[in-house]
Amino acid sequence: MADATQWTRSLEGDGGAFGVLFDRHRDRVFRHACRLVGSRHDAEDITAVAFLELWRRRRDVRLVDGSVLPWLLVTTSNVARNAQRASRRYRQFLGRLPRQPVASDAADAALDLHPFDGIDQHLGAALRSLSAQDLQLVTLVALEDYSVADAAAVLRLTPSAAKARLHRARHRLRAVLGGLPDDVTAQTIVAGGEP
Amino acid sequence: MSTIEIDPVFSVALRAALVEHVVQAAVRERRHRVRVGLGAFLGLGLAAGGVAAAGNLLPLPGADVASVLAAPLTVTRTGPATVELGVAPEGATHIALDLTCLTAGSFTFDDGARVDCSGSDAGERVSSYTTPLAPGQHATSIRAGEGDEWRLTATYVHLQSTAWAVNAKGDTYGVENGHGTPDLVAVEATNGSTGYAYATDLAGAEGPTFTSPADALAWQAAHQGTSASIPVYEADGVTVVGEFVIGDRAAASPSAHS
Repeated sequence: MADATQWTRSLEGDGGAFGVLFDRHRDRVFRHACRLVGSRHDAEDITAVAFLELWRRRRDVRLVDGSVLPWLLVTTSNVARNAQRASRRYRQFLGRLPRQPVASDAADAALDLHPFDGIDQHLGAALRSLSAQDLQLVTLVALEDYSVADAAAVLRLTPSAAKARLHRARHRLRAVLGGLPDDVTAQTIVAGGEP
Repeated sequence: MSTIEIDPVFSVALRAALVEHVVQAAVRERRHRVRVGLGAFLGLGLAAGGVAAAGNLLPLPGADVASVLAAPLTVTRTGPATVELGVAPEGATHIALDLTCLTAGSFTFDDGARVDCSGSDAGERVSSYTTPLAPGQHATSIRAGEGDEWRLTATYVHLQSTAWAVNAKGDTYGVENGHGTPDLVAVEATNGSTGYAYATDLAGAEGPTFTSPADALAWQAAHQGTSASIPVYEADGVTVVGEFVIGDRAAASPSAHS
């Protein structure tokens, strides 16, 4: 699923092509945002900001296998970690977007009652405890099934440095998730990334 | 079961806003390039705000040309609706759309572009729009208020930039397009003649390439009241037919024709 054509057209000012990229990656970005923040409303804002940042920093974006998704996921993690600062830049933009008035309350209530699948809440807390770069690595490799080499390319690390960091990050995650046997923890982390 | 979906109302609005954001950024970038020229660039088309020059009826070299690949489909609908177009023919790159509002209201294309019609526009105003075809796309939607009526003609087309022409000096001439800028760029001179200016002259007179709107504004402020005149030639790149002035009209040379 190559984005290169839509991305090139977007850079030439073709809004429709950017819309196609949004359609293609919206759900993955939103789901990843949900992992990192507690409320649906915040996850929506983070999704919006991630796509705005994709455009604002368009000259810096690196495609991996022709896809903008890795860059979007990394940006989503960064935005979630600095949610307030990132949202401030786009406050006016976000304020203009309408939402379902009643449904959003109901959804928030449902979210409080059934936070994803129960385990993801722990995973979210564990992910938030990681350093920025470790979070990016775990996001791309453990949660989204990218190769270590691809993740290293996006994060501008050497593959061996990425591998060492990832190893340490997995240990840290296990420690924070605590108590769960290694294999269960590993399954949980992978399951969180399934489509 | 516990999957949380993004709020569809928010998502639709976000998509439309992102599309508009990208289009507006492109228009701003082009404006910075065209900026305050007293002449006008030709052939930039609607995206740049539409400079349609009289006498520019023939397509210039390098302009986009659409070839129709399928019979047009015309439907009339009320309120928001999706129009099935059938499988796109081989080679289709865009969908050409002609929207006629039949009542007052706002009518929004897939990518967020919007047509606002007053009561007096109803049945009169036709908005033509060409939108890129996404892989696998076989339908297009119009968002409209409940009870607002519209007619849409949709045609699969293949859009292609024509080649630039080459003059005796070996310089390419025509309009800017997706392939870049020809050596001689089609412009309208201050005296109303159409001709070509050298891209290098234009670039030199326009200042540096800006990396942000703030840079462009700072440069404009610093150069307020100054102007530069560059010659406009026939396609041969030799015969001068007028001049193209970039900068402040008040500061333009008194010998400038108008």
